Amino acid sequence: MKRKLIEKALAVMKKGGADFAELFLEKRTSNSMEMNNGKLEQVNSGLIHGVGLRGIAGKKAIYAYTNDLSEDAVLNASKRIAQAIEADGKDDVEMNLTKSKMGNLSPILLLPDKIKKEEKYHVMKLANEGAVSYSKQISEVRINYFDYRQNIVIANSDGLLTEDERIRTRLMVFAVATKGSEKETGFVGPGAGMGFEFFNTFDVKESGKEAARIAVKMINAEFAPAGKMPVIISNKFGGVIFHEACGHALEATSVAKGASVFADKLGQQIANECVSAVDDATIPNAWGSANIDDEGTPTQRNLLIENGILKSYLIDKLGGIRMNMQSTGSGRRQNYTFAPTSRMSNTFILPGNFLPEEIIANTPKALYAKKMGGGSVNPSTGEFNFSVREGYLIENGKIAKPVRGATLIGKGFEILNKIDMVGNDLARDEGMCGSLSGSIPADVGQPTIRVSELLVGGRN
Amino acid sequence: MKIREFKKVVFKNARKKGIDNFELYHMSSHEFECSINKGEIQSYKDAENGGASFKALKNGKAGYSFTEDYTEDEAERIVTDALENLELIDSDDVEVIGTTKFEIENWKDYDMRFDEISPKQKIEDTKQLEKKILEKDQRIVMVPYCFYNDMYNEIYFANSNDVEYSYKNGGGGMYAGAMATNGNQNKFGVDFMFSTDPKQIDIEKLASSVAEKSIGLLDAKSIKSGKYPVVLSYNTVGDILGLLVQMISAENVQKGFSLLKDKIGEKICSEKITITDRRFYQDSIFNCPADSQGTLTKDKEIISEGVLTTYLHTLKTALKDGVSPTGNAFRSSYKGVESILPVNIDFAGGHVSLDGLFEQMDSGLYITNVQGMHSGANPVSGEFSLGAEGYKIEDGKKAYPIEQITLSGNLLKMLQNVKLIGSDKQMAMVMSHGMYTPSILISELDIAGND
Repeated sequence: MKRKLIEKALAVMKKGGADFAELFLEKRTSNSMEMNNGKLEQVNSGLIHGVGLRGIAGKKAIYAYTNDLSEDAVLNASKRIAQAIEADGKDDVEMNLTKSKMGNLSPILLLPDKIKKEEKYHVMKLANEGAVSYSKQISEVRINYFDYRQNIVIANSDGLLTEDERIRTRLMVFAVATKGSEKETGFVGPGAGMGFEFFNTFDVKESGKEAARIAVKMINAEFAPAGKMPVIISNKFGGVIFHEACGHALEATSVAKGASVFADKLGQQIANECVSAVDDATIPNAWGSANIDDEGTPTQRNLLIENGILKSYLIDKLGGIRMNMQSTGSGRRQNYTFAPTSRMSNTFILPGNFLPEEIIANTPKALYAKKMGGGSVNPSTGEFNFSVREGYLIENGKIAKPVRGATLIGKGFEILNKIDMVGNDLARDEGMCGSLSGSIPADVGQPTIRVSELLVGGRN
Repeated sequence: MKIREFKKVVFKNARKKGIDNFELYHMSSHEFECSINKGEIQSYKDAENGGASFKALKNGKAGYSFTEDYTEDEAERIVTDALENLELIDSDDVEVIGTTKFEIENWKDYDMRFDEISPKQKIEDTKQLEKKILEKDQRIVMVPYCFYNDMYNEIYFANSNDVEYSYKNGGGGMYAGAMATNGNQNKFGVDFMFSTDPKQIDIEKLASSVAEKSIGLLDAKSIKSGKYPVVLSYNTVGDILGLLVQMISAENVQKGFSLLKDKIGEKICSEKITITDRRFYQDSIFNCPADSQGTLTKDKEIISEGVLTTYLHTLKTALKDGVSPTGNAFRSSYKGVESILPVNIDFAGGHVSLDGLFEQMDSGLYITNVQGMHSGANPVSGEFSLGAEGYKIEDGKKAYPIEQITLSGNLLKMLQNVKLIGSDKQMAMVMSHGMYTPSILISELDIAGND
């Protein structure tokens, strides 16, 4: 898109009364492949190419998008925004954009669109072999492969004109174990802000095995008991607890409205002293990283909680206006069809002093959640729920037996105070996070932690 | 280029490359959305976009490629890409495209009645909804979500067998979530109304329902773990039935991802249950005359008095099973490939009112909301363990609200234990298809509680 048109589009919105006008142009090529039981069944690739325009007047934001990139269509979208704003027009609306570009935090070695699909197929085959060869109880295996290359241009009426490229690659392995008429599943889904070189950073076959191991472990497990008990949550995807129970409630989306249990709590103790946590989009090549957010603000490492004290929220531009605070580089969106809003990137609890084995040995009786599944939260009430993908009972400080079908429920502000031991084994894992501005890649993470008491949903 | 012109260029390119069979699926979407918070516009979206997916078939293998740019270059690229993509396929399944030309009958396109309302009026209505909810009760301190939304999709499909059709569907509505507080406990209540007809959106009624759903749950407590008889509200039944929708997909069945393999003709649940997939349900925004592969949609019983009568099929799965396609291959977008979905699930209602179900149960739980379907429910195993809230029922009446409990069980076992079906069938909030479900009384489910 020509700079002239970008400047015109912004000027139309300003003239119509916008205090702030923004344009987000996106071009994305993507590949997805699906293999079932060793046979490649689906290959899809394509292009999305469109523009999202936003005008903000006071605390009001108007958004429009189109993938008709002709001058008429883009200016028409700007005009519709100008009309909807219903504010006094601005006079001095000469737009003079200065091009700038942030340094790249995440070097890419092998661009996915330059790699032959046969090589991607080979990776899927390896993962499949790993899963199938693990056990005779493995009855079905599904492998999904995804990559995309997203090029964005962001311009706004503050004079910003910048661009960025995001490359992401992911493999997902879903294994089913069967015993009689029962089935159980295992899953792993490694991903990164990397190109095809990602598959040189770990053993793909082992990923397949890992998904199979979980399915087999669970098909041979009893159902988890029901009731209140201490819960030890292992590292990596265990961090989904913090993501859901706390992270979402720190987003400006709910804080600005006062709809979060953590609104007006900056500087206050909201978690046990052993808990410190960050949201960090600057980790090179991480799944949730980016050089700039989707509003063009450089990303940063945001210390959210330090020794239990709330230090920062996650703020986008509009949230910043509504809260009278600065953006924390947290404005994100799925693609040009979504207005950006405050979101997490790579969010995790910082390591403490305990060895994970120490935490287990110090706990006479508990549920040990070795792998977590997904979960969700209602930021207004703090109520959350999570599924445990791979669980064990701990008896007398030892891992006693595997259990399946457990769910953990509680309230976010309560669990943060009940975290009473934090391990030293911090690790992250990849997921997709869904909220108002769509589904975006995000890392969760934590060291092994112990929660003194949580309600476990199981069978009686 | 306009889409029909683009299609001609794409088809010409495809023939030049010697592709036997191919199709183009095009979807354009128009969307309006606004939300209100504290009387002010919180968000406002007015948008349109569209794209096309090309599917190439050769030797029974299919490859896909999509684009949002209708240029000569892209008309070339999607053909080359789709061809390259299909070369890799090594599945033994045979892909086919539709061969039967048809006219769409007994179908009226969505008449865009929501587009006749001015954006100003839509904003005003949304403000009214927030205001009315807040006026219902002092304990409602905020309406964090208060949305108006309308949209429509225009679908255009053409393949190399001259099957060609287009249709328009859509609608609009409102939804809101209110937060009530008693000082130390917050409760959140949410409800929605969507229809093809703006007259069906009753702001007063919606406000009352949202308000009641939040206030009703205040002062909730947990209960003792144990097995309880349970009445599931219509929306909870809709949520949990999402598992069944995945289990009846012929694709999942054929690949071994469903417990319903080899169960056609067998009794899989209580004989009180009859579930039908309908191409047209009064006011449903999901009504649809044909699927995304050129098969007409049709009404069909899926479960007939407890007996499984059919899976939902695409052209490919139907060919593999040696049955007729059922018109259930849908694309949620041109960006994706077909997946199996119903049009409108209609769970036949019974003759007992909700209060009647409570009376029949006498003592037990009324579950009004479950959380965690996407993580705590497993469509392969049928097992679920979900966060839940609702009411304790004593002497056949609501005794007090309950919270912080989990509800666990297995879908098929649960449907076998259905004792009574309510007469209160309503639309449950499901994003990808219509879901019309009644409340049901189940003899026993596992509950974990904090008490």
